[in-house]
Amino acid sequence: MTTVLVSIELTPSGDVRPGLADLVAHARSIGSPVGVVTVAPGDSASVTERLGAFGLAEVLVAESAAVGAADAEPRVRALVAAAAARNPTAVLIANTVRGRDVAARVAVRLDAGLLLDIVGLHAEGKRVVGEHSVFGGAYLTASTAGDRMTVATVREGSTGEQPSPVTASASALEIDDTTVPTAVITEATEHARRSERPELRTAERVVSGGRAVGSAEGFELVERLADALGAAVGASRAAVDAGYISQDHQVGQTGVSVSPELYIALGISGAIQHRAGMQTAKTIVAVNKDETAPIFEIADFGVVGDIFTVVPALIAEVEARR
Amino acid sequence: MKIITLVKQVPDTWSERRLDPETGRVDRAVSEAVIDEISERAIEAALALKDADKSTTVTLLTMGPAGALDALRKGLSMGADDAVHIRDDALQGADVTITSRVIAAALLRRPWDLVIAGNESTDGRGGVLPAMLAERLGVASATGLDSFELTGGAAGGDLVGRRSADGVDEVLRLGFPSVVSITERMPDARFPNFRGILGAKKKPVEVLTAADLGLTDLHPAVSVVSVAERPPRQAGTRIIDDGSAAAALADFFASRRLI
Amino acid sequence: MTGSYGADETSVELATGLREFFNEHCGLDRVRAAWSDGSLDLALWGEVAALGFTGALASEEVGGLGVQPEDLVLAIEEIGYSGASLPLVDTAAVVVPIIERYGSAEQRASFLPGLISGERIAASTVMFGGDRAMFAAEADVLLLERDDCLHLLDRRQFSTVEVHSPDPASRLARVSVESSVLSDATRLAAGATDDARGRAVWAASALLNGVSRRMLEMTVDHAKTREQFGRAIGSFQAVKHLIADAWVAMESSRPCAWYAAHACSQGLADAAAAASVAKASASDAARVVGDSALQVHGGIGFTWEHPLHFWMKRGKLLEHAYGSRGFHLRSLGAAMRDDQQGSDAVFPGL
Repeated sequence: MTTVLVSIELTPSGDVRPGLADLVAHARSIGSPVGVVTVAPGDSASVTERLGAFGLAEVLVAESAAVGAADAEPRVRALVAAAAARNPTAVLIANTVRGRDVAARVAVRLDAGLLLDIVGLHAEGKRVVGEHSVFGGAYLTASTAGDRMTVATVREGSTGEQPSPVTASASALEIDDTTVPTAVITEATEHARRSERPELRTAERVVSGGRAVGSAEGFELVERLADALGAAVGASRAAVDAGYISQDHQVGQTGVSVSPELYIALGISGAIQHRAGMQTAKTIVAVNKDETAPIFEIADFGVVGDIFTVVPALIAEVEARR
Repeated sequence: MKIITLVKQVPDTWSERRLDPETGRVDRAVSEAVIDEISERAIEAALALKDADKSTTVTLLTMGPAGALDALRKGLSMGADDAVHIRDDALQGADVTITSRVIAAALLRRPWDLVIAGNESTDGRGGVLPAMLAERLGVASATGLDSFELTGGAAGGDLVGRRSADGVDEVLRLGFPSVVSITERMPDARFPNFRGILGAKKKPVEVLTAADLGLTDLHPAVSVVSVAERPPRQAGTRIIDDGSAAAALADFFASRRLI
Repeated sequence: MTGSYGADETSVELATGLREFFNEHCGLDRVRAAWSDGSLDLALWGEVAALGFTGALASEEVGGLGVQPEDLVLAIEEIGYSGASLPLVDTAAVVVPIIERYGSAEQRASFLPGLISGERIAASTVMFGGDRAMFAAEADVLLLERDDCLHLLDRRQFSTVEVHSPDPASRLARVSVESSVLSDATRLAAGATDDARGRAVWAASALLNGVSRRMLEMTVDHAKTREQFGRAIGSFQAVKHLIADAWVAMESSRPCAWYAAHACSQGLADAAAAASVAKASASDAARVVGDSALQVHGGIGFTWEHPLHFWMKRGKLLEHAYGSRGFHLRSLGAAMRDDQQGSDAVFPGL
């Protein structure tokens, strides 16, 4: 079995990003995953324990005083050291803003081929082939780095697989402290989770609101339906620009791309940029007053009607049938 | 402060975008090419620094076909001082490895303190170019900034930026020279005024080929092996609400085992 | 959008810049607001002035941009197209260049900076039989024709009474001046009157062509989407021909405005005739386009619930302002007759 390095992204408070499950699942499809993580000195044991839950049996842990202070560089250094030690066929990194920085630098430092935002991974002989969903899922492409080592960023939520827990064992990874210029993180705050709602990127169900929701107060209606269905809350750019909801809920070309089982668009016209972020959803439902809204062209079930009458009634129906 | 802003021309996102089924590259013939909105914001960020300190110079840099000159002209008419256009048929279809090598080589030809780029282009969406450039140039980078300010000048000063991404708010500090990328939360680009439009034609645009940059062995690190177009989604049932839509929707959910 | 006749890169770029600005800053809601409250949108005025429009035709020596008049024709069309209700044409295309060319040193020093920067707004009565002017009530500066001389007045020197305008967002006022006010100090140098008339006429023609272009575009959109008998109405030959005729009228008018501006800026012998041709054809095109638009829209647009209405009413106002089609055809006829008698009269029909 070939080795596939999996880069672990921790939040400032030390939590593991849930998207790690996708990285591990993709790594399994071409080899055996080995986690690589950087922690502050003394934190090795506690992080290793938690990584078993993601199905990682083996983890390389680098301790560095720079963790939490230097942007990207400790993770880059750990991956480069791990690659030198284990000669992996591929290095997988989450396609997050931070993950992309790490991937960019690792790919250059290792002279590897960089595959971006993959949704699938397979081996063809000795080649590693990554699959991409392009222009909002209108195309599926596959690409390969050929004989080079592959560094790939992985779309979180692209497998939907639940990992089977194992017991993780850790070995220490030495990284040197020689420094290249780096940005220093002087403050880091995690967004407060406002509810128990699932995370948008990986949610199986998403309820999104658009400009027609009309106000920040109106968005409570979107949230109530989301809660009734156990869904995450999304929004169109128009709703975000109008200030109804914060930007991290934005679905679409310049926001998050989602591929849930169910996507419900409330008062969203369905501009091409929004569709690019949600049209790979398995089932799409749209409610919109405007019968000519382009969202209806891709909806499996469309209701021409006022969201303020349809949605409250729908919430009642859903709760009654539970 | 000498600033270089990276500019990309992309297919208009308001029109249909297609991939060439043979190469897997963006088919640039089917949609109108426009300056990427995020590039305009990056130019605006640079010009805002120039507004605050008149000694600041803003140079635009793009890699693209002859038509990309329009994107540079737009930026020059907004107020940038000059531009570099890397134009070489051999670079058509360059992957991010080649692109980062070429742009890094072009950046090495002139002095600068700060490179400002968009966080990701609307066509490629890779979002890795700024950090790859920083790595090749051996400088610090900060990506995905929603805002930033300078404390002090190019010598000994710092850039302090804020980003909010993937559930974390951060403040990042870095010195010069460095590379930053900005998000669409940065201010909208200014409209070029008539003086800027009239003056843009007189501003210098340096045209470079890969050979001018001393790059001859440009082989992509990644190749596309297949391209498949997904059949477009079909519209399904559509009903007009007469009071029974909620029940019909709930039935639909039940039929798909969603409730 | 832009024609190819004589339209070089500069004129296309200026027009494109202005169009992008108006797309962002002068949507239908802002057009509608100007109609409902009837007051001048000073914020929009300030933004357009800041783009450099008001000083475009002034030379760089006086703080302008030195744009050639013919290079501003497409940009002026964009104003008509946008629906913005602003006295841009009088200020930028007529009053500023006329002051620069025919004003005394004192007049240039006291009037040009404020007009070029957009701090002051100008109106002119050169074509209105001498006493009516668009936006005169809002203007800080008035260019007034009396006894074939042009006088330059500031706000304290004239008074206005509002009169009915078919376009409530382009308000009309009757201006009056105490005869004691008019003196050598207010008078502009000889030649100013004819020059100002020529400029006002070609600029109004370009503005009107922009109005027509917008009406025609709305009409084509409507014909493509409105269905009758299960087909888009634009697929019926009767509708198609109506629109095609309107397009021909408009497209034949657009180059005339360009040539009139060119002839005026170059001081060509046929400048006055070219201005008359431009306005006669622009008025004709606006009538043909407006009538077809109303037909194709099935009568909606006659009332102001439909946005077509804004451009229709502005078209009607401009069709007759700065000389109607009939007036300019008569001028042309008279000029041809006088030509044979060796006269060099300009706009002899006045």
